Amino acid sequence: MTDQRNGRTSTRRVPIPSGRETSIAGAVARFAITGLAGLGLLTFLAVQLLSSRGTTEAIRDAKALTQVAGRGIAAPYLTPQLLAGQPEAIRAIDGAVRTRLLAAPVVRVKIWNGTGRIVYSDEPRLIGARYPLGASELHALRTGGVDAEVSDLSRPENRFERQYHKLLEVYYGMRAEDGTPALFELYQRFSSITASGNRVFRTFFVPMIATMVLLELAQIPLAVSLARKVRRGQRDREELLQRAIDASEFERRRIARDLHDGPVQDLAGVSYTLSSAAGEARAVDPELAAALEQTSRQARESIRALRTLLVDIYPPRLHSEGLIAALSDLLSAFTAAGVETMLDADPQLRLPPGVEAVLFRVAQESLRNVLEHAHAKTVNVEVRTPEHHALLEVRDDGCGMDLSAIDEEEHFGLRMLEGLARDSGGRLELESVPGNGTAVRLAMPLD
Amino acid sequence: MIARLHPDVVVMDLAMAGMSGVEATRRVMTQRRPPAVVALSGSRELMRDAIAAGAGQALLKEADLTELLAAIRLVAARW
Repeated sequence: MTDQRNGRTSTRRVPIPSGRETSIAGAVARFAITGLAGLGLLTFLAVQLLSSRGTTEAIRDAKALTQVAGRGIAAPYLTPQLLAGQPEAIRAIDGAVRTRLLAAPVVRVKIWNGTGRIVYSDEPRLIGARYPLGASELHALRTGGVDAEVSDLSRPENRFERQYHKLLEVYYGMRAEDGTPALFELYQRFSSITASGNRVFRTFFVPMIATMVLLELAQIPLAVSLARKVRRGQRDREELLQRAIDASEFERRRIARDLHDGPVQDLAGVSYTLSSAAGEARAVDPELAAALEQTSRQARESIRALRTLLVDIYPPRLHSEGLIAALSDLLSAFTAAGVETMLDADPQLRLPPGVEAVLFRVAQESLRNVLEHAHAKTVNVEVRTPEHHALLEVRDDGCGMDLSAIDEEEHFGLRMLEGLARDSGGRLELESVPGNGTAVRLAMPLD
Repeated sequence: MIARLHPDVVVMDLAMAGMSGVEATRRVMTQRRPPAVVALSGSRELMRDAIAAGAGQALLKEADLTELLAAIRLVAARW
């Protein structure tokens, strides 16, 4: 329900069911599509998670490789002579690095001392150069820890690695033979890291998707069974509703007939008798005659009221001549009250009796509200039948109302109309602007 | 024994009685399909000699089991 105050349009809507009966195939298709959408979302999340997890695993493996290579290959060569830059020591470690370490995915090895000088690299132009060490590198150097990061190839110490585009550098804090700290650094191609990640991803992805699809397929028979039950329940409810409507119509007819044949006829008899008695008494006792005439008029008033009630309870023209004739009857009361009316509908229009009954009841209640509350100058009633629907609109130019201020308990008629429309598979919409009239619209499916 | 069993990886103690581990490593490497060697020693000098003789990894003897296993996996994967 929407509510716009301060003179703007406010509407009150009742949700409309798409049809009178839920199709099993449609329900199962909706279930399957929802399931597939969920599956898609889960797959997307799983892809993200597995990719991230795979990359994390690959970086962990790269760290382990660096530690093993540092201890098992570089450590024996971390001598005071190497740290002092002696060519013999450099040649010795270079042989070991080139034969034991430099193979895919490792593309570069650097060993730094604590001052930021490169004491060894397989790229000889770097040996002896000094570059400032970053905070995390200094931390690894001091603590003997291991850390990894994507290489910043714009830095001068990495200028010889730019041909590799993207590298992961892992640095590991070690101690030379004499206890001097040194930083052992391995550069690995990042493509090998993502490839490792993808391997982890592929390992889990296919079984996971297969499991999800099987789960989805296993749920389809359950959904079919559930949809059948829902449909059975829906049919039972519709049958009950139809029976209730039939019973209500029967009761209305019976009450109308009883009123017509009983109290109305009796009152008519009483009225004639009183009129006749008044005529006879006029010469003898004018006062009594006047009293009798007055009582006779009251009886006739009561007969008129009862006949109006009869039309309300069971509009005979609705059944014999159709909705438009019955609506025309309803509007005649407005003409008598000096309200201009317009009925926009095909006079020959005939709709299924159930639909005509609902349209008539809604029009009747709406027009009653207009007559009693709206102080309208004109009231328009329109009936159209576009695209398998019957549409009724009752619009007046009266005082309107603030829908947000409607007291639900007091507006029983409105709630009854909403309930009637909903139970019949239709939709009721109320639009009102305070000071500028009210429109009640009803849409009923015809299929 | 190595010639008979054809292992993928040999963990070689460089301080053995009868023959030095460095020499043993050198001989192992002369085989037609030599295994990968992880050398263990208390001396960095011997470790360098073992790597020069063909060992894929050379660890200090105080290395723990996790370290040894990681070294074995690395040489096995790269051999």
